[in-house]
Amino acid sequence: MYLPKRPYASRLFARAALALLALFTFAGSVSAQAGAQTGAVAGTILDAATKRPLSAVKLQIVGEQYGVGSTDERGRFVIRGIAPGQRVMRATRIGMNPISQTLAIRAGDTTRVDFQMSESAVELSQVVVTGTGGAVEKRQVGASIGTVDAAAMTDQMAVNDVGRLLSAKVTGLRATTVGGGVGSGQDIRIRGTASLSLSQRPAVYIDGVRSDTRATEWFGGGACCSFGGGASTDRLGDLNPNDIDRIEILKGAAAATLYGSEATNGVIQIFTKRGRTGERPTEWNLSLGTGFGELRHNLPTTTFPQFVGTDGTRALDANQTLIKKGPYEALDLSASGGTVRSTYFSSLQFSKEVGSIQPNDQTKASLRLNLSFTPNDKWTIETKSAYTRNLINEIQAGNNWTALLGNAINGNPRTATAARPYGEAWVPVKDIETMTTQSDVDRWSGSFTVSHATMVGMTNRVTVGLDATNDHKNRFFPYVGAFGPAGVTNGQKNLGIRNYKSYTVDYLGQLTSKLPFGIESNLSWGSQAFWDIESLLISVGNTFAGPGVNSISSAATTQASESFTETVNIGFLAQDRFSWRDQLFVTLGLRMDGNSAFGKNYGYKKYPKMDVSYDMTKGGYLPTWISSARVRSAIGQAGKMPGPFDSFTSYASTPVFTSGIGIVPLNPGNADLRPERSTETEFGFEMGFLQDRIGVEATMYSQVTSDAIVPKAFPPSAGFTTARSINIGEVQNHGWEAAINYRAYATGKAEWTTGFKFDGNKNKITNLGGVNLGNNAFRLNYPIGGVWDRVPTGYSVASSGTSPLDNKPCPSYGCPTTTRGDTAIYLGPGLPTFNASWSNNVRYGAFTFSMLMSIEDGAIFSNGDRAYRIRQGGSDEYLSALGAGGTRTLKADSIAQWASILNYYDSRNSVRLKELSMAWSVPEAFSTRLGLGTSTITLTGQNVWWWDHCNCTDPNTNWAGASSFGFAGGFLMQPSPRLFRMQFKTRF
Amino acid sequence: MRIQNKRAGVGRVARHTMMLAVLVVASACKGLLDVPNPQAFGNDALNNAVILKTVTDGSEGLLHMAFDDYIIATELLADNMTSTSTWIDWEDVAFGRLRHDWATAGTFSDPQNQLLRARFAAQSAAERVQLVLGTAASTSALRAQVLAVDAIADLLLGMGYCESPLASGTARAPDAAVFKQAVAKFTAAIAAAQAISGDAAARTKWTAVGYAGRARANLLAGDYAAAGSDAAQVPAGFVYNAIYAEGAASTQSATGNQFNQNRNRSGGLREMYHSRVHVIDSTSSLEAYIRDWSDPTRDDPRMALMRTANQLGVNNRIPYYGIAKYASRSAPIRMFSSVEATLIQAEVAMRASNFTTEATLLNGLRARTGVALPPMAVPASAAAAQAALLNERMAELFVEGHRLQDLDRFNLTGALLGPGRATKLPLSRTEILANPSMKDGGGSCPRIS
Repeated sequence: MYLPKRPYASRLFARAALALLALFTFAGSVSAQAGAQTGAVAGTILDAATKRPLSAVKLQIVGEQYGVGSTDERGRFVIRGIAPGQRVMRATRIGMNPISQTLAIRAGDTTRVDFQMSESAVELSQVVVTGTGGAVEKRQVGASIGTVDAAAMTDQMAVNDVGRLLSAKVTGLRATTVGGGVGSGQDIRIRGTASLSLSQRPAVYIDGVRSDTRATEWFGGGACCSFGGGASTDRLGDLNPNDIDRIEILKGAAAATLYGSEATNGVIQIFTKRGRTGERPTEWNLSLGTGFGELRHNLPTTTFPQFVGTDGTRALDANQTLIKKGPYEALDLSASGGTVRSTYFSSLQFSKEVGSIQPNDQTKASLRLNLSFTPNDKWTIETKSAYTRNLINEIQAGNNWTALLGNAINGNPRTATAARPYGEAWVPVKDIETMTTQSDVDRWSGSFTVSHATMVGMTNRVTVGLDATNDHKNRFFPYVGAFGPAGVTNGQKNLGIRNYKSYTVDYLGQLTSKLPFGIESNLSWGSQAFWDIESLLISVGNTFAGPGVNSISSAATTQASESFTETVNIGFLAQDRFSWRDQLFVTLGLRMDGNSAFGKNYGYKKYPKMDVSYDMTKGGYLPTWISSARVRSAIGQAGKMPGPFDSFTSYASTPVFTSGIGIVPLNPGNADLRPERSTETEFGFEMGFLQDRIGVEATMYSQVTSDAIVPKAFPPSAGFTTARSINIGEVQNHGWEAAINYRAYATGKAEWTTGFKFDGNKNKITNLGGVNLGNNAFRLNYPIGGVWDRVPTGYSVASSGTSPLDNKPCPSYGCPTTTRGDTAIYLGPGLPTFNASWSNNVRYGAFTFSMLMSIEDGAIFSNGDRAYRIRQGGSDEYLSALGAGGTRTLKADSIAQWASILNYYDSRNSVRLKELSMAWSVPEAFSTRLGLGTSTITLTGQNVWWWDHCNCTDPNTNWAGASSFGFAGGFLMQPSPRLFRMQFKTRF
Repeated sequence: MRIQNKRAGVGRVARHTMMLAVLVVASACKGLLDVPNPQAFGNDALNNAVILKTVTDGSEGLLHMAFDDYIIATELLADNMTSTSTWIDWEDVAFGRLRHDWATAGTFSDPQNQLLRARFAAQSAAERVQLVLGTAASTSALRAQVLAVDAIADLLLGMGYCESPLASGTARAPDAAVFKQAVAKFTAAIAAAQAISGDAAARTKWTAVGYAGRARANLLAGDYAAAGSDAAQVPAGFVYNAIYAEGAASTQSATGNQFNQNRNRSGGLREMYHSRVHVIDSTSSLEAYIRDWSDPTRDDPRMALMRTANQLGVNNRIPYYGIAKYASRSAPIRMFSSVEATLIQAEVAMRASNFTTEATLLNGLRARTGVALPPMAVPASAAAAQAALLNERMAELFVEGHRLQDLDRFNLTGALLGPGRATKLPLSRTEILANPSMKDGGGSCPRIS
């Protein structure tokens, strides 16, 4: 294994970190001690409409570093240690109008204040911090920032992965499950596809620290194969959703400029929970979940039992034999609280989930400890630390000879035997079931943040963080088993180690000052650096002497390979937000990046931005039926760095002959390689009607990615294998987003809130630098990932000659022949061009019902399984066309001949009932008798049902796994299961 | 917040802070962005005598790895093998349905891409040998090795493809021009091999490769006298194999993976030959043979198959017969041999209407140990002589990448496989699109039967 010996780089990196820390210390040299005599404030906050207590309301004594708190489940709060005098307390909560209260704080006394907050369907006053150069209300930012109240969602339903928290929750963000196995990934994209060659997954930060987001299968430099097939485990799945407080989403370059060379696809920042100040008993939260997941019984093998194979074995229908109810159990226990100057949040999670197709399960345990300490009114220190152990027995799926469901549903039942009862073409299902495919992840992520209020209006903050993942994978083929098609005879063992580390150092300074003409300036400056190291090591042992051993060293032949990447990025940022009369906000910003992946001839990359927001609510000129309104516009740039070593001209070692080594040309390199640059312009507005009971927002955006990296094939006659990465492409994404939220009814007895979200995206390649890439995914003036192929041009039935199916004379019904065109034509885009969702939340008394439906429209995919099944003589579609006794017919031959020369392309359009839940708030009298606090029992269905016409099992499957660059078809993948959960949640 | 009166002081602190931040961080960054790639060499690192043999071996290894894919593509297009896969591109090749806009990857383009890359690697290595060794290069076995690889790549390009670039980035050239160039390159390779000093084994090996290669190149270029003369220089018992190993994915033979009933079963014996197969044991040893063409009562051990009872190809449609010599992914594939040299001499005799000599040479092959087939009669006509030659070539060079060229040069594609079929593989689409001297759709290949 290559151990990165980089003392020089390490020293420099440490030097940079220390320099930032020293800078911070210098800037924060002025401090003061809190006054010895303080007062407190306590009270209760209710929902103005329902008069129900509001939990999780955040409270802040304006201008005081440590005067923060939040309400408990009964709406109660207490904040101590407040300096005496007139103070303003601000209360905020996602989905509610913020409110400020003026308080008279007396030393040694507690001021009592109760008030109510009204729900708002408009989110203008929500405070966001991601990409904004510090905390700011949304109404002051001209670009789109989405937010997800994860804490509220996990209160309502059992969720085991972050992707489901995002799915259909934010306009412009598409999160779909691409493979149905437990632990497999989600494809997460924001505003379409902006690159011709680079990953489409947004950058993800957790509490300010760059996070491991790999969701595609990894290899170790060619020694071996994929472990689970195309589908892979998703590192976002390591997170405990119950630890998450909220998620902020920067949707595009205009919003994400301050993230520089990794922000073209947007940025997702996850904020974990923290404790509450106030000398109160520790609040314990306990969540117990149970349930199961089960595939729909829609596998195209219902006709299989009609056929008897060559040895008299009746073929099996996978719907009846392989689909099982995979149980789910989860426990989450957290404790939170604090003192006047400190908070703590600690959690422990354990869950086990079994797949519907087995063997496949996930056992996950995590620990988290978040601490904050405010020694005085100048300093705040926060540490966040989380450890996860995630053990996944992966399902064999994807473009893979040993795909379990792939073999079971793509076989020919007429060749069924006792050993291959599904007529498996490649590897028998019973043999695949004896395989072991395991991913065992240890992951630690944490951060240390020091904030300092240097003087009135000036703050400095330094965050140092690390996300470290150790993923040990192994795949074992037993000695006994017909694994020949997978290249395995008498057993094989693969071991893989992925070691990933991402270090983040982030400094941000802020200065607020008054300028002439009533203008206020909020200046931010800072630096952000990250250092990513990924090492992949794979070893393979082939051919065991006999059953009973499973170590690589006991195999006849062994091999190993390793790959290593390293990226260093240093960015500087500066931004000033000018506000005028708290109505008009203008932000100017600049980010400048240096990156180790840039070509050696290229220097630093600059990304400017500007946004304008005008809040008309305070002007007094809106008609009374419009309760709030603002318009906004933003323009900004962000980038996408090249692959770590893409700019290097390189020659690679390769095994040759039987045991020799050779060196061959690999990568032509490009010393001028630079990041892709996306320039985004967006316009939008938010409006609230009827006292913000109705909220409407809309955005139009236009993003142009120039300098898009085109993988221009090097002429084979010129030697190098790898395509040369050249900045010659251009991609456009135009789109729109709209949302309507309506709090239709709200009384103490009942509430109904409904919401619609819509978005559309049109993607087009507008420049390829004159290069014809010769494949179907990249064509000028068509979408990236556009689906192209030859289509049928005619159909005839010959009465004589030979059948193209078996080269035998035509049967009596003739030889049906479909002809195909010689040139591929455009069939449609690979991603939906229209997405919509409809959510409803209804409370009646102690019961709350919620529902989420989604619609996807416009995408086409290569339905690889459909054609494969037919080519191998299987599938209900073909088998049901056979005559009595399985005899061939004109229709069956027509289907078979078509599939031998053409692929199928079907629509991904679907309507999906994503979530359905019912929650019952246990009566307080009852829960109190048990010594519990607020308690809820929830029944949830996720991915409950979907309607499609894809001729497939699930239109969202993608054999290449999550967030891969392409939008591959659903080849040998298994569909997403339907999940049914029950959760008991209580506080005490 | 009332801070206007402090604005000047605050601004000064902010400015100093920012300036210091930029200075400190910028100085710390110097060199930080220089990240080495520990798993690859830069160009200059290879100009080193210590590493030179690895570079030349790399080019030869690339040639071997190109050869197994070349075997698959050309044999599917010829008549011995057919697609038993579920891949449309294999089906297309097996049915001779070729078109110009095929994919830049896969069966259509990859084999030629690999041959072209092997050729470039050999040429690049030759330059590096000269640069590093200077005058000593002229007697170095390394130079002879890469010159031979360069020539073999040309020879295979000519045999499988109707067009190829003659050099890096140059325009299309027909296969005849490629054969002509191959002859010249083999001549240089022979001279280099004969000049090797201090390594007798290498001198013998590369000299034999040179003559065997030039014999074939001359034959395909139509210079039969030269072909016969070169073939006569090939020592008896000489064999040069492409070598494969299970050790790593890059050294495994695709032919052994795909033409093998224990693995993927994606390519098997074409249906037209199934009736000539004699299955000896389809449950245990799986032993089967194609019958001898001249004595159908005898099994021809040169065309050994493997047959499992009732087994179909992976497409579940076509009865499957695997190729016994490719029963593993480490099975070598013969590239040149004295046997082929004898066949060339027999063909030269046939073209001179010396059928007796032809029969004598062919019977010599049939009688050798391990084959032991009865002698064939002296052909009575030119047609019979040609048939005998081609049958013996098919048997001796069974699934070794010669059959496509044989069908093409004797104009037999249409007769054996029907009209409307491509007679050779077309130029790689990757090369067409990436080579600045070429234009998409600009070629005239493939010829159609």
